[in-house]
Amino acid sequence: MTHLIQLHEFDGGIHPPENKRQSNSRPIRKASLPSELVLPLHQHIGAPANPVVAVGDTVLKGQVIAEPEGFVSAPLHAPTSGKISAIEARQVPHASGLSETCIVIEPDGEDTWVEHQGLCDTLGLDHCDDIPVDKLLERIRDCGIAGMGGAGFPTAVKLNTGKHKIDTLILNGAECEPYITADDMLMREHASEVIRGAQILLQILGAERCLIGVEDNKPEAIAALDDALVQHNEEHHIDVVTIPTKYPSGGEKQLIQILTGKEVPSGGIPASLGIVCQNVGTAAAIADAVDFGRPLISRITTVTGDAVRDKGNWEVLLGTPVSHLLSLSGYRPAKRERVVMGGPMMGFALPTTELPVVKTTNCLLAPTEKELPTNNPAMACIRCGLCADACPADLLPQQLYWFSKAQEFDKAEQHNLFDCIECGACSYVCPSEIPLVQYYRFSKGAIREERAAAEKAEQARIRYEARIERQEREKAEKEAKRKARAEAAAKAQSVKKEAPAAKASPVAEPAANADLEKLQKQLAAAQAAVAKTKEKLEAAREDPEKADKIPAFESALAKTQDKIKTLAKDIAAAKKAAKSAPAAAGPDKGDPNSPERLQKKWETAAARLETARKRLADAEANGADTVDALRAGVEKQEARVAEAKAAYEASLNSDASASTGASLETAVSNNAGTDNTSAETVAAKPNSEQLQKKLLAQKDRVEKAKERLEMARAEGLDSVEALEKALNKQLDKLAAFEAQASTTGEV
Amino acid sequence: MSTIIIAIVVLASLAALFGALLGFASVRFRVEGNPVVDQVNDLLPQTQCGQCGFPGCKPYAEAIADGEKINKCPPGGESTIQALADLLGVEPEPLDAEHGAEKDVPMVAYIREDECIGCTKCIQACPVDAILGAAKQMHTVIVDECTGCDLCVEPCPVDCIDMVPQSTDTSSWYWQAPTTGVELIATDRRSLKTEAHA
Amino acid sequence: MALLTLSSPHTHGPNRTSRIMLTVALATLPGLAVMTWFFGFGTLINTVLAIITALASEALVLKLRKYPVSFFLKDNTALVTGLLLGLALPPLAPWWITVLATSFAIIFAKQIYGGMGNNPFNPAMVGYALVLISFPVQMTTNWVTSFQVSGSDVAGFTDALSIIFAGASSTADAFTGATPLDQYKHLISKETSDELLQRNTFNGWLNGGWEWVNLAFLAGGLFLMARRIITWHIPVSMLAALGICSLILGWDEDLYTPLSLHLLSGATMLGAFFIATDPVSASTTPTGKLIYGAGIGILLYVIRTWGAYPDAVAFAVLLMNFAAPFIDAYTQPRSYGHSKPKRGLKPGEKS
Repeated sequence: MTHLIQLHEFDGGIHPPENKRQSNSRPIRKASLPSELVLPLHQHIGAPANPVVAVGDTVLKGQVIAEPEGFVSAPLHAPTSGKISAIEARQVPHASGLSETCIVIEPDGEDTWVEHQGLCDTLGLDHCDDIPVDKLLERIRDCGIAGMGGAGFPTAVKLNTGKHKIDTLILNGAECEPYITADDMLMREHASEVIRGAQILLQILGAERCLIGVEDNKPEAIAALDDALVQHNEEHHIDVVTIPTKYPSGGEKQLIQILTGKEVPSGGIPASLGIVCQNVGTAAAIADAVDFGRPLISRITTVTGDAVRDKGNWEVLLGTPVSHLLSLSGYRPAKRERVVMGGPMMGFALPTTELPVVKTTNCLLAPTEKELPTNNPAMACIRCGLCADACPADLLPQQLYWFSKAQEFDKAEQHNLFDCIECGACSYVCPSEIPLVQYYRFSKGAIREERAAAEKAEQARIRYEARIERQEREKAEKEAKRKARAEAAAKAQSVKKEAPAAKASPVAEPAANADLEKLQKQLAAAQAAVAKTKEKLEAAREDPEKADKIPAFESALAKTQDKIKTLAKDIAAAKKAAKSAPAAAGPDKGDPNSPERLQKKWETAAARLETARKRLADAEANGADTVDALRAGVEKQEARVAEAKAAYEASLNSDASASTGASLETAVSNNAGTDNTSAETVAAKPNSEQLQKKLLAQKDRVEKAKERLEMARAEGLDSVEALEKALNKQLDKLAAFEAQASTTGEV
Repeated sequence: MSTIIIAIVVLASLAALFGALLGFASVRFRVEGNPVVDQVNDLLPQTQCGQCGFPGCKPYAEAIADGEKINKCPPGGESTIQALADLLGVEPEPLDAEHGAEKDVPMVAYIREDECIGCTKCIQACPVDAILGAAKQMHTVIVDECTGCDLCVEPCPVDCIDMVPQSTDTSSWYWQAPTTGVELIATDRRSLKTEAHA
Repeated sequence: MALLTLSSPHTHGPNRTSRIMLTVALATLPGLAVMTWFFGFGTLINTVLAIITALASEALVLKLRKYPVSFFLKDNTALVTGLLLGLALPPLAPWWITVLATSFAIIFAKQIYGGMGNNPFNPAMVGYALVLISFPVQMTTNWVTSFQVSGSDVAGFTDALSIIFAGASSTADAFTGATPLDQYKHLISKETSDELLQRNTFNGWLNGGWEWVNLAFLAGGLFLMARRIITWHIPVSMLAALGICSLILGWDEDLYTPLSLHLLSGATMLGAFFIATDPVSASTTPTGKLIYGAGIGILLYVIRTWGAYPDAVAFAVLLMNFAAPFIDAYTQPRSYGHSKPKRGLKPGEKS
């Protein structure tokens, strides 16, 4: 150590019995290969990895078996060579005891490595000191390195500090939890890798200094690190700082406070202070990954507690079942058996020992009841305030407890519940043995759930309102379209009146003829509609249920008949116009056969059918004697629905063509209207220009129809079919125009 | 006589003054829209299920603002009733059973896809557009958007929609509050102990 | 194989409520011993009687509430309540006063509110206040003149028994007398301080055994502080506030009770270290404790000087108990990572 580091103290904290001697007195041993390795896809914070192997595949040691999914994620590698025997949901080491997808590998015993090499060799660089930062980060990500201290945050993500300028790297070797000695042993035996990892991290972060914080109960580790510093000639950048033993000095926020006196802002990250904190184990793993290309496939795990005979540290492959490791250590199940993954303060008790070791498993603690007695039933809080004295985050644990117990979550939040690091110091000192941390976990979970629900409700509200708006817009659009058509028709009518006086040129003749054709078609359609309406009227008269509809049908019939009369008149006029001065004749819109009305009819018919069916079903269920009558009614109704549907579809097609015709005619008549003064000159112009215009207009229309269809498809509306038909019609029309244009061109 | 005149003048000028004040306040502190409706709407669960008898949460919120009862929302349950009661300053009432019972767990719709005939009826019924599909094509539920309102179940002609409870995974699971200790009225110490053991 | 799955932490420190309460009880022993030495067996008898009553009423209520009796009795809180009441009551108070005060303290001030941890007021002081208001004669005349003052023996064991249980008033008159605080307060308007101090009760200074009683409780309190069972905040701020009031407002010994008498007479030290520090009903934040203690000190002075009662620990503590939740709400400490403490209740938030 060359620099004098001013140490600071964090408030609170406790001094539980350390119990580290049991496991740090012998060197790290290599755990034997188990009969199967179970690798959960979700061993880190963030999105679970995505398997890239299939059952039956043979994999080599270090081969990627799952790719990261998204930014905050980490890949997974085969810890040994073997066969993928299953990819299935298995219970994972999590306090919930729930299952998640795991890749199961059956080792072949060969332990054959996949080809791997240091990053320097991969890039073919001469000086391994100047590997580009992005390559380093990429290697760290590719090697699946996630924080090994306990949280398991993907390291590459944490090192990507964005806009924050980092000046200090802190390596966390405090290991303040009782019993755990994994980091202690790692620092003793792999001090050189830790220092090498620190060098790489310093290079990535561009930080000026590195502080390695180690509690003063690990003198051997401190000595080993100091030696390694000298070996690496890094005494000037890296300092091994001895800090007083006090739980939880190894908490990231607390360690930062001890070493720098700064506090990480609530809800913020250390990077905002220019600090990045990494576990010493992570640093060693980074060194391995960068210098040798070895991904994170094993870790050092302490196995301790009085229920195991042979306490110590193991270098264990990820995925090794806890039961395997315990049996290697001579585990004797005791009364009131508990196996804790992690330390006694923050670890979680496993529901079974058939769970794998994962990237964050730093300790397996199998205590006897005598060693770590389970809590007595909690007594009432006497507000003694010992918890507040012990809290390293300066919270008021007992207030949080009252609020959590009463489920007054807003008040708990107001009392900074989310600044609680769940270190357990408050529970440890509580004279009433209240499981305080569990209350806070419950509150936090409930608040998060509430927030998620609120977010979802907000989303639902937005979607609901968007849907309502869309429905209204569609209605308005239909209405607008109907109005536009009516206007166009009125205009056409007025133009038609002027047209004969204007002495339109013979150029307009074919258009006028087409118009005539259209009118005739409409007449035919109207006549058909009259027939149908009459039929319906008959049906309605027979069906007492629909008696109230009779006047409507009658009026509709009358209207249609009127229409036919006007149409006939129009046709006569058009014929006359075509003969003398052929001009456009716009059909009157707003007839009862408009697709909107027909659709409505169809819908009401369908709805009626629905009710009829329901009634029938009820009747059948009740065994009423009206069943037969109802069945007949349903059949009739079905026929009616089919009819209405057919009418609607027919009208839709005719409507599409009619509207096309109408606009065409408008265009033509406009043309005629504006050009009537120069009618003689226009007369000389070839038809091709007109056709070209039509063609373009038609193309536009096709585009529009396509667009609408796309929209309908995207929104899954039931009008898709109808729109498809309309589009086909439009396409046909376009083809016809094109043919016409080509022939005209030839002429 | 003069005292009476003074009194009248004073009262009249006071009335004028306060009238002007009120008038000014009504212009100056004018509140756009009806914020009560929005506040009520924010408290409703937005399942848009229509169990209250209104076509959605917003219409029900409007109705509540107009004096409708606050106990007609089964998805919101007691907590929503309590929140509404607090907001509106009325007495909370028990949930009106006529509109359905509160569910313990949030549900989502699930379409048994091989049975779906692609009729689009559920798509039309869904108040939040959480069902994806087209005519004659299989439909599926966007689980994240589903509010569990039940409205798609009824229209399905082949009954291929189930309401299933939302599953818990390791990221949504959380510790429940401790249940042992003196909170329980235990009859003797032994039962306390056995609970701790259990 | 199903293993035990409990939430972390999986280990627990040596603190237990029962042990804390036992330590508190132990810390009162010097005071109890000194009181017995100076004032005879009355205190001891009454204390034992109060403890028995407290445990019995606690057991009774627990039984009625269908709670596990021995589990709760073992937390020793009833023991401490009884003990403190026994120490606070006049040494020769009739037995029924002790029984009434203690049972009221346990049943009404503690269990009715939900038992241990849920009482807003200090139970012992509620019991004390009840009998002080209801039976002022018995509560003011049964103080004992210490043997140093009377020159004769204090009440022996049998005398004390007969006075307490049989109400032998003729025997009692031989032993009882006003407390120094009482006497000073009532006579200072007629005599000068110097004259007053020549009386038997004071014997020149404030002799009368009370200073030793208070010093014994001070020692017990320091022991509790050393064991980290109480913090310095409440006793120090309470005594400081009392002292400052006395120096500023009552500097004239011919008009007001002097500082020495305030600090070393009556229930000052018992109140400062054992009663005001009752965690359940006191303020809990560090700043809050200072305010709470100071409040007690000021109230104590005000009531002692201008109130009807010569001593006022019970009323001062009870009044500040009312304020404790409010003080707590406005004295939250700054949490890690926050630039400012969040204090009070947010606008719009329900209380």
